[in-house]
Amino acid sequence: MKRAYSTAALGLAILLSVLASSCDNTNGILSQIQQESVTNASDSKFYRASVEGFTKFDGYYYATMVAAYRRPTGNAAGAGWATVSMGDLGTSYLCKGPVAAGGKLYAAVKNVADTSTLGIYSTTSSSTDFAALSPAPNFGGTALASVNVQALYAANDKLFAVVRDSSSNYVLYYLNGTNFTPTGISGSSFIPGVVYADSNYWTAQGTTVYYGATTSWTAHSTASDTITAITADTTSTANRVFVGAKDSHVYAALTSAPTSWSGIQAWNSDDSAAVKALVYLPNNNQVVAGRGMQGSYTSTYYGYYELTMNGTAASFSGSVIGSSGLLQKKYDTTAKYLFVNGFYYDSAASRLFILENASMRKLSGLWSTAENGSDGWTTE
Amino acid sequence: MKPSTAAVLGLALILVAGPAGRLAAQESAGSQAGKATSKPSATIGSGADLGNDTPFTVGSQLISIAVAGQTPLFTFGGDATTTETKLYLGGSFTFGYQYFVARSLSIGGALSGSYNLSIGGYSFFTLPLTFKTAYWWSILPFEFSVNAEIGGYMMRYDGNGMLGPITKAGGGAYYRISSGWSLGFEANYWFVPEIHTGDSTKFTRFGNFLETGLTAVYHL
Repeated sequence: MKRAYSTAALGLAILLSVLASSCDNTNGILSQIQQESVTNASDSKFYRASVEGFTKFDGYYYATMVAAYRRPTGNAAGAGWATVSMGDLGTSYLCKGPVAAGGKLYAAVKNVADTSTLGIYSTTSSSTDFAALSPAPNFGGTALASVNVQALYAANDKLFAVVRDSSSNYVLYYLNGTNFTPTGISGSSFIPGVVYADSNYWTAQGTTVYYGATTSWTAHSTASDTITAITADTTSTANRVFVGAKDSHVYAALTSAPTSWSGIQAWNSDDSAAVKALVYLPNNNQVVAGRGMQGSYTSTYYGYYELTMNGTAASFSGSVIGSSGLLQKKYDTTAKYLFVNGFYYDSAASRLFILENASMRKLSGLWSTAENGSDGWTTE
Repeated sequence: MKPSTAAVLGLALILVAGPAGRLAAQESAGSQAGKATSKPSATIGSGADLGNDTPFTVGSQLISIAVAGQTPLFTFGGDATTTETKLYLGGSFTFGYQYFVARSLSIGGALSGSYNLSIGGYSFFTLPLTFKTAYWWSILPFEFSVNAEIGGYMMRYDGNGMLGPITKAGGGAYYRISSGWSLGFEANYWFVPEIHTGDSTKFTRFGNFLETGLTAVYHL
């Protein structure tokens, strides 16, 4: 009997030590569950899909997997998604974009082999079908049929295109009238985006941030590794630009001080996740950094981190990985187990969309939530 | 070793070791008294002696095993904007021991484990360890009980753990199928506070569950 009680005491000691180590006051379990939404919605258009693009245009949200889909912005999340017809191609096409610029919605339509571009399609309203730009635009004199458009971006109502040339370089063009003109930015690294802030365009290639006009740029070596994401905060009194790098660092600068960048390591570099996407949430004063694959797959390339800013300064409130200032849980639950492809913030609706790669999991690749996280991630 | 596994082993050690000691002592005493205690083994037959009207006398003991459905009712508290639990109907088991300190009044303990799947596809476990007091009475061959429990739990969800207090209240109705066994239904209300402090107070929630299921009671 004495032995039995000794065993019980030992068990209790083990139990208490284990329980104590498993308890986290900063992590609400029942509250997290209350933020969940149904994830195995196999009827979602984006079920087990990788969503690569998102925009809002003329009363509709547009999302792109291989083809584009759209739903009215007034619909409930997930309600009414339908394939976008692409002019003479109907619904049989691959596309990059669409993006909205200058009152038009543009898409780069590609063939199935994804090596050449069939056309740049556009429409002027959600009730009008897309049509190919005619005559077909050239890219610095190179015919459209010979270029491989990798991405379309919109900034300050200008359309930009990233083209991979025959030397495997990524070249940034902008639509200048009826043709695309080289911006002068070209290199071996992908160009992750173009934003407009404080009267300048901002983009990045390699470890360098470029700012200036469409063909006149100032370069500043900013990051310690390849820049993989860029976004801007144009809502604060002091404009800010943010870039994220392959080595999990996020950098911020005031647009008034474009050579003064402060960086922070958003997560431990051991897990080798790149900052695949960035978005600024003005009401939270946070930058959300999405984790994506650098190259090959590992199980740690998931989810996103929320980085809180210091007021309107270009500095982060946390400085140590894992501090409570960095590891917010507001958007944590449902969507954190997928690779992040991108974000879209609808400022009018204060709604955040997350574009994810769900091809390897039985989940939807597109989710949305109120900016304050009140309704949790909802399957689109 | 994952914390949850170690925790389960630890809890099992505690619960098994306590009754085991008592049982050993009881068997020893019974043997010395000339095996005066009859072993309840046969299925109850017509006219069988089920003992007196209130078999829950001082010093008697019982062990119970329950398998139940775990219904999430609602969750409130903290900064919750909804009372939805976002949990599906789950299941639970309970292993309990009770010792009668007065006629019909028992004290004891219970180890439970419940599982629910969240609507997001994650597993939610709760492992309560409780002190239990119950009042039993019988109208043979039926037996009834009402009980209250208080204790602590360990909660696991998506790789995160939490400790907290828990209370349960409920009752049951059983049919005495033999001199040793009763089989019946039990229903218990679980009140599961998840308390957070400081800046994390907003995460505080109060979970409410209803456990209903089958219980087998072995009268020692």
